[in-house]
Amino acid sequence: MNAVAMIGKSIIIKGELSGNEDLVVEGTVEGKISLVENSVVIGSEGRVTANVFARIVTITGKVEGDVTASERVEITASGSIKGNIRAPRLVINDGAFFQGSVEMQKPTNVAKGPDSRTPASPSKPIMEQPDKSVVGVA
Amino acid sequence: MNPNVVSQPRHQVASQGAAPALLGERVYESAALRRIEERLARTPGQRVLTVGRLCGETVVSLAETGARVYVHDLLVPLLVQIDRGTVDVDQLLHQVDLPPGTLDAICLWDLPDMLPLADSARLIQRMTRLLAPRGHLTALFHVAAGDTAYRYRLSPGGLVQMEVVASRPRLLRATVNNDMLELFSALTLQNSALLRPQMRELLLQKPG
Repeated sequence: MNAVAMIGKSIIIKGELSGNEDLVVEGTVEGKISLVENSVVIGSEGRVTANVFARIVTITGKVEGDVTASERVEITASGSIKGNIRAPRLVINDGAFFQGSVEMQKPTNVAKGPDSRTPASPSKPIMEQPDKSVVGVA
Repeated sequence: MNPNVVSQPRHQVASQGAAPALLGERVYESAALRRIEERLARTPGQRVLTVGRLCGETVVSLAETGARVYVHDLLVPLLVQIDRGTVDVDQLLHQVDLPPGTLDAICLWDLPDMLPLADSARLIQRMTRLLAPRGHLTALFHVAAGDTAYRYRLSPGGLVQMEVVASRPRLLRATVNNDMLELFSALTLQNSALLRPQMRELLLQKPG
């Protein structure tokens, strides 16, 4: 089982977070989160004003910044993001708030940081169906 | 209990053509959207803007084509404006900060029906300006004023939760055909179809 680090509700971090553990953010982070091999969960109390680079990013709290994931991004029903998303897989659940742009890419070199970003892949990625709900208009 | 949420058996809602029978099916099945996605898929890296209420699976399916998808849920700020009694399209569109003539497609959904006609015209004028030559735009229109608009949540228990997002008659009017043609006079109509019993959809193209 992977180690999981947690930033608690009362903690405020300004600067860059990097490492090789999964991370749960319930506090406030301003700056940059770079955990390219790991999962990052922005919990319901989490407030992140930062660009996030990770393998899997799950947003249940609030994010202002760009999110780049090599595997998957999920915005849950209570999640909110103002920023651009780059990931090969994306799930946006009912009730989520999202303002920004989406680029889906092959799952290679997308989470290495802004200097090594690759342009959008021409291939169509395999999509994962949301398993809980779908949303529509009538 | 939320009075704005109605639950019905999934098969019953699906039989009315309003939602898929199975989890994972697309809720909003649109020929115009399919055509737009086909065109986007031919040349990856194209740019598409969706400005209706946020519909996660539609955003994802557009992004799957290889296009860059710009997402602006204008419904939420529009409802705030309506509750305040003033609609300001310029303020509404302030967040849509994209250069003119750069978008290959725009999905407008049913926003024009939620605005006074003059404001709808202004919204469509702004959208048309953003569209690149030969770019496509799709829009939905309600057949009857006061239709109810829902967000759907399909639950594994066999029920569909239908959350009312707009039901007041002043929110949803029925735009007559002549007004529709006038609203989109700068674009060429490519297709018009009845999407469901209560919806019409248009597919339009900006002249080259």
